[in-house]
Parts: sequence; C-alpha cells; structure tokens
Amino acid sequence: MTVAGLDVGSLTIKTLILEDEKIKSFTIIPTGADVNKLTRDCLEMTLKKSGDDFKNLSSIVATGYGRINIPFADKSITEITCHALGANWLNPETRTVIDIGGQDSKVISIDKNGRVVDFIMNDKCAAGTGRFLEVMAQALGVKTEELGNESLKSKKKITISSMCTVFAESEVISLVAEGCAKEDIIRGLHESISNRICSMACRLRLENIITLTGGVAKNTGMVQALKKRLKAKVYVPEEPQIVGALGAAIAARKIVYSE
Amino acid sequence: MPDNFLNDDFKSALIKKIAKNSNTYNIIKAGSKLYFRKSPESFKIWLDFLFYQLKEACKKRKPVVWTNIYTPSEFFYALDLFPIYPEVISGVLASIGIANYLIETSESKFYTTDLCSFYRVAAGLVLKDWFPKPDLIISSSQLCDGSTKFFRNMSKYYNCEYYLINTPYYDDLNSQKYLAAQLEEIAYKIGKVNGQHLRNEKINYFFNLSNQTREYIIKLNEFRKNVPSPLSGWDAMAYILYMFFSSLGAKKGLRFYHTLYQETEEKVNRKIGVLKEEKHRILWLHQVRPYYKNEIIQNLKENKAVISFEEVSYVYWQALDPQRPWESLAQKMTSNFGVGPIERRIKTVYNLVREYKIDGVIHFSQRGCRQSCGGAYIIKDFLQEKGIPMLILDGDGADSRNYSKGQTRTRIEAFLEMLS
Repeated sequence: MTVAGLDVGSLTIKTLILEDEKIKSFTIIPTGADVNKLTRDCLEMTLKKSGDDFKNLSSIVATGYGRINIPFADKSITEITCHALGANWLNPETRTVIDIGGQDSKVISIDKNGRVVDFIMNDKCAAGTGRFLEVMAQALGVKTEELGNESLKSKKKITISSMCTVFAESEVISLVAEGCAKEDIIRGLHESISNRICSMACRLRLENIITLTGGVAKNTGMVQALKKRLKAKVYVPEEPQIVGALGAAIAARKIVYSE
Repeated sequence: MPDNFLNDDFKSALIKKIAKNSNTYNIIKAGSKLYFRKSPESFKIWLDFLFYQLKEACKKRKPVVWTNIYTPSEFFYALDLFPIYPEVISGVLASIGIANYLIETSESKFYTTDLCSFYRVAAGLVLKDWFPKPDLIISSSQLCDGSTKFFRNMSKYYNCEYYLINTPYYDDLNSQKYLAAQLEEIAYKIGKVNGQHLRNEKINYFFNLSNQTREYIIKLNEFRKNVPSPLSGWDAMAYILYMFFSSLGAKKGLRFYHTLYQETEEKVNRKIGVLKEEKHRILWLHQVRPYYKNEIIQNLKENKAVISFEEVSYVYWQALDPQRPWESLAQKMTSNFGVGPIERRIKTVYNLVREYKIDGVIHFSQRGCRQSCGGAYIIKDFLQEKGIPMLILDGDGADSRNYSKGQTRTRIEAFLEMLS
C-alpha cells in the first residue's frame, strides 16, 4: 500500500511517500503564494523520485497551516497529531515532541502509541520560531543553514535580552556595531530561543525521550542549546523537517486500514 | 462596517446625533422585528430588551447608572435606577464589527493596550460621544480589576458620583456583613439625592421577579444536561448572557427566561440537538467568548463538537430573601465561585464536567481578565489528573487584532483530535 503525507507549512512544503514500513521518497520546497499548485508540484517530484504514480496512491493526508487548501487530499489533520505520529514511528520511546517550525513552536506530550496526551503552542509572536532565526540570520549576513556551525565556534557568552523579533534584530545590529563576534551573537540567540521553548515546555510534564522535529532541529547549535537546557534524553531524527509529513502519511495509512 | 466609513468627522458627528436620539432605537427595533421575524421568540425578547435599554439610556426617565456585570441588577431595579453595562454593550459592538475603530480611538487617547478590550471599546464610545452620559456610576471590584479604574476615570470625565463596592475575598459572615453595609450605605445616599428610598413592597416585587427568573435559569440548565445538547453555549454566551447579567429583577428578564425555557423544553422533548451528530461535549470556561467575526464555532461544528455548557451560566447563588435585602444581595455576591481561593472554582468546574457529561474543557483566556486566566493552569492540572483534557485558548473577546484564524483553528482541531 502506497500513501502520501503532505505538510504544507508557512515556510516550506514537505511531501513524503510511504510504502508499507518504508519511506520511499520525500521532497522539501519553499512555500509560495499558490500553495495548492506548489504542493501538487512537490508531490509530483516526490512521486517521480519513488517511481510511483498519483493514481496509485491509496490515500493522501495533508497537514500544516495550508492543510485546508489542498483539494486533492483525502483528509486534513493538524500538525500536532501528525508530529506525534511521525515521532512515535521514528522512535517509539518518544514521550515528548518539540517541534520548532517556521511560524510556531509546539511541545507535545504523547503516549506509547503516538497519541497526543497534551500540547502547548507559542503565543502569537514569532519569538522562538524558525522565522525568528531567519530574520536574525539576515541581520547578521549569514545563511540560515550556517547558523548552527557558526554558533559552535563561539567562545564567549552573550545574552540576548529581547525576544520580540523586531527588538532582537536591532539588538543584534547593535551588538555587531559594538564589535561582538557573530558566532557569539548566534549562540546567544540560540540560548535565548531555547530558554523560551523550555519555559513553555515546562508547563507540560516533560518525559524522556524528547524528539526534536521541524526545520530548526537541523540547526546543530540550536539542538546543543536545547540539550543543555532540557537536561534530558534528546533524539534528533535524520531528517527532522519531514516528521509532520511522515505523520500525515501514517494517518493516511490508518484511513485505508479503517475502510 | 468598513473602517473607512467611520474615518470621517462628518459621519462621526452624524452617528453621535443618531445614537443619542431615543427615537433611533424605536426605528431600529421595528426594523429588526421584521428582519428577525423567523428567529426564536426568546431572541426577539432580547432585542426588545436591548433597544428598550438603549432608548431609556437616552430618554433618562429614571437615573441612568453605569455598572459592571457582577453587581446585582436587582439592586438597581429596586432603587428605581436604570442600569447600563458598558462592557456588555462593547460585546454587542464587537459583534457588529465596530469595536476595533473604538479601540483605536481610545488607544489614541492614551488608554493602554493592557486595559481589557471591552473597556477600551467603551472608552472609545465615550470619547466619540456616541453614547448618552450616566447620572451615576456604581461598580463592584468583583472579579474584574480593569473596571474599577475605568469607572473611576469615567466618573471624572462625566463629573458624576462614583460608588465602588469592594468585594471581599472570602465567602463568610464577616464578608457578607461588610458588603451588606456598603450596599445599604449606597442605597441611603442615593435615596437622599433622588428620594427613591427602598421600600418593602419594592424589594418584594423585584426580588420575587429575580427569584422566579432564577428558577427558570436553573430548570433551563437542567435541560442542558441532555444529550444531544439542546442549546449552544455559543449563543448562551451572547444574547442570553446579556440577559443573565442585566435582566434579573426586570419583568422582561422573567419573560425572556420563561420563553427560552419553553423553547428548550420543546427541543429536549423532540430530541433536537444543536448538531445532527454530537461527538464531543465541551465545557467552556471563563465568562466570555470572542464577539467579533471569528471561525471558532465553525471549527467546533466541523468536528462535531458542541459547547454543552459554560461556567458563566451556572446559578451559584441562593434565592434572594426580601426580609434581609442587603445581606441577601451580599450573599449573592460572595457566593460567586470565581471569588476566593481557586479550589472553589475547581470544585464547581469539576461538578459541571460530571453533570454535563463533558468530554473536554476549553478555557478561553481573554487577555483582559487576569483573575480568570491566572488559575487556568491549576484547573488544567486538576482536570488532567481526573482524565479530562483541557485546552487553554489564549485570545481576546473584543479586539480582533489579537485573533489569528489559522493558529486558533490548529489549537482547536488538535484538541478535538486528541479527544477522538
């Protein structure tokens, strides 16, 4: 049985093909204005990679903020449920998922079957999200994907006090003007986000193992800051950005079984 | 209403003239009767009451007193005063899409965004001079902390008398005595000014009306325990809530609840539910919901969830005793489960969960209501121990600028997926 999971996020679209117990292929592309068309294109790319055909897909489930705008999906499910399913599939010992995406961050408590027990999300501001890091990377003239390695070079601790994206950006610019090293500023940013995420996470009962998902989990500096702050067993999947799409595919498979 | 329609001095002056003319409400009332002719009778009674209130606020046949929702309305009716609830009017204005304009007006005059949005709407209304001035202001410190400062400011603005009823923390005899003395003193002072002293026959009349209304609310709440839910909590927190706060002690209030009771009884007998298929029964916590245009109720409906009950509709007080008017009103105020230690609210909420066969609880944390939001996580922890999931939904009741459609949808849907 071949199914597809689509995660239509605020910054990227992720599509994934799951066949029985195997991830056959996946694709990640940036989100644009025409979400419906881009998602279809992304899915076609993924199908091409796996050598499958759209007609042969048994079921398609969409998740992410754009999930309701995908007419060719059989069902839409929230990214909270999907990240829980995906994280459980990748590591059944997972009891907590921390997903830091482009637009929001979430902490999800799950049981041994991957069912959501409780969850919490960031409030309406961009602090503690991928978008926050993107803006800071721009202010520092560094590529977003380079932030992790840069921060690992840091030798001096700098505290970033502002969490508002706009205020933090001007704080970063001021620190650059004062001659602070970029790597120290980036480390400060990572620690600041990790403090915010952890204070949110502590409102739930944090249980091991904690799986980190979402694009920000690809940032090694951010992962290190979180590990240090959480003082827990942390698992980072090989490709943390596709966990939501994987969860959507698992949900699609469940739909087929239930029919 | 489009924003640019109001950004015009001439139109604003015109609105002022229209809004402060009592005939306006006769015309709107006649029009709305026609427009809502197919609506339930109870809804039409509410409209009648709303326009009657607005008309009387302009006509001023009786002294108009501005007050807040937890100050017992029977107190005003018995004293021959006409109560107006600015925060409730703000909810109505939010529902017709005018609140943000008024919020921006008040913010431009230094009203902080930390003040509850319902009061920022009311302040905008005052600053625009779109509402008739009060003769008197009487508010209580019960539950709402923003109201005290707002009303103090309004009394200075309008140069009118302001009485603040200080509600104590604990529900005991001393607190009731303290409150009763305040109510009696205020009544005495008002009586000296307008000659309207509280007489036994008046007390009997208004307290009886209130007690009869209370009986119907209790019976109505009993009906709401049925599956499927016969009445949506979304409506209960709109026009029904308006009556809950402002009509106890009024003849129209009794008529409204009697009619609503009959309408609900019919639904129960015919097994008509709010939804064709009821999958999740929700208890809504906190006094309000968002009143501006939003998709929350659609999100719930799409996922077969219904608000079966809301804590604000719970009848927590004993019937009023006309023989002990001040003590009785004081007791009504102190018996509010939101006042005092959080354990009191938790106990009531848990009882409601069991009585209304609730599957999940949504706590709408309206930004301005700190007294309620502060305890949300303690309630959540308690309910979770009992196996009842709870969602804390941060939001705003009147300021739509604090509403995010997508983020709210994700929270609600994920919560309902969790219940499934």
